[in-house]
Amino acid sequence: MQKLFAFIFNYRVTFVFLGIELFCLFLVFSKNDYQKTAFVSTSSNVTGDLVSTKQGVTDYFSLDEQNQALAEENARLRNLIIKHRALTTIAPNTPYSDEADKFRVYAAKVVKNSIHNHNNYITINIGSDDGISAGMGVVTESGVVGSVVSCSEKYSLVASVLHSQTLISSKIKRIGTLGSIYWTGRNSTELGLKYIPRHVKLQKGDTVVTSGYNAVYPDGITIGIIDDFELQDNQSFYEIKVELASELDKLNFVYVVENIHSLEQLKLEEQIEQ
Amino acid sequence: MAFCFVYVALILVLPYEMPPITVLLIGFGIGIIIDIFGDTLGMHAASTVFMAFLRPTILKQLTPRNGYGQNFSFSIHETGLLWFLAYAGLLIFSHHLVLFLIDAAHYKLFGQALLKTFTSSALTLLMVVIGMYLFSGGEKR
Repeated sequence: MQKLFAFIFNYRVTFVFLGIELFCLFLVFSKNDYQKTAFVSTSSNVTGDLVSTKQGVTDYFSLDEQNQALAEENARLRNLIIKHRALTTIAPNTPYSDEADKFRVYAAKVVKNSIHNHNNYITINIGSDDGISAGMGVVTESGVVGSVVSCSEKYSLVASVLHSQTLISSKIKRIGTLGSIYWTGRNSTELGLKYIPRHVKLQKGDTVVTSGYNAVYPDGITIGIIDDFELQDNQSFYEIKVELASELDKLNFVYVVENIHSLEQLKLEEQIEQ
Repeated sequence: MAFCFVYVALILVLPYEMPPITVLLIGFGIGIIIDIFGDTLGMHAASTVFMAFLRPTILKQLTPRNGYGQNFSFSIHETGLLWFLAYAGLLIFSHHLVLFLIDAAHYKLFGQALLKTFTSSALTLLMVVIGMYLFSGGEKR
């Protein structure tokens, strides 16, 4: 017994090291992303306040670009209003579109962003107090950004599309073929598209958009452009590289999209799976 | 591409006499703070603790001919540039290796992780040495 104690005492540093290291690795590889991110991350109120103060200072250095982007966005929205008015005056009783009623949009500001890890997260400055909840989609005017994974009262954590578990139901706009978008992990602009069968004729430059079969994003939001594709002789699906449309390294303002019917849709789909 | 994690210098310059377990705990503390603000929970903590664990071994291997002596401190003036490069280089490399391997585990992109380890280690080492010259310049005795 005494020898055992002596052994433990002699190697106490190693034991403490192993203990802490295993705990850290448990934190890294524990599968439950949602709990983990709610537990300690930049979306908690304290660290959220700190990073948003820091962002408040650094924002001044890109005011020009931000103004430019907002002005362009304004112009685009004005155009939409005009088109919408034209539609409703021509036929006042026809609903504009089902899709438009199905989604509610919240504007948010990015307070922290990362693109260099293998699981990247974005922190935005609205949270459960503003009506945000986990599972909502996040987009910009140029394309898809990610989806909300957890919220505090004032901040939300968004898993960016640059995440190892990203899987977005998508389609090729020109021909309507369905596939799934994932991140290849190589760099911050390259996504992959899988499950496009070999009989489809692809072209470089084809636009890939969200399919609307998922409950997160509206139909037809741009994801990216096909950059390169390859077809092995023994494979039934293409290997496709897609260039991401939204510039994730320059995010300032994003829109959180709430699908009002998402619960209903998910419940129905679960019933079928059972 | 290379990334710079200068915070590892805090572990490098902890007093020589400090008990190894204290160094481990400080390493864990620093790592977890970096993780909380970087949304990388556990990654930096794991690699900083690993580096803190290796520190006594590497210090032993690199013992100067007449020992470390009284009042030894980790300033380049005292240790000499070459000794410091070897000491800091080995530890920084071990830290970055663990960090990038854990990061790449999701994707099996180990080749890229190794490349990042080499380039980032070189960059961090350079920054740490510059920092050491800047902040410990006045302590000549």
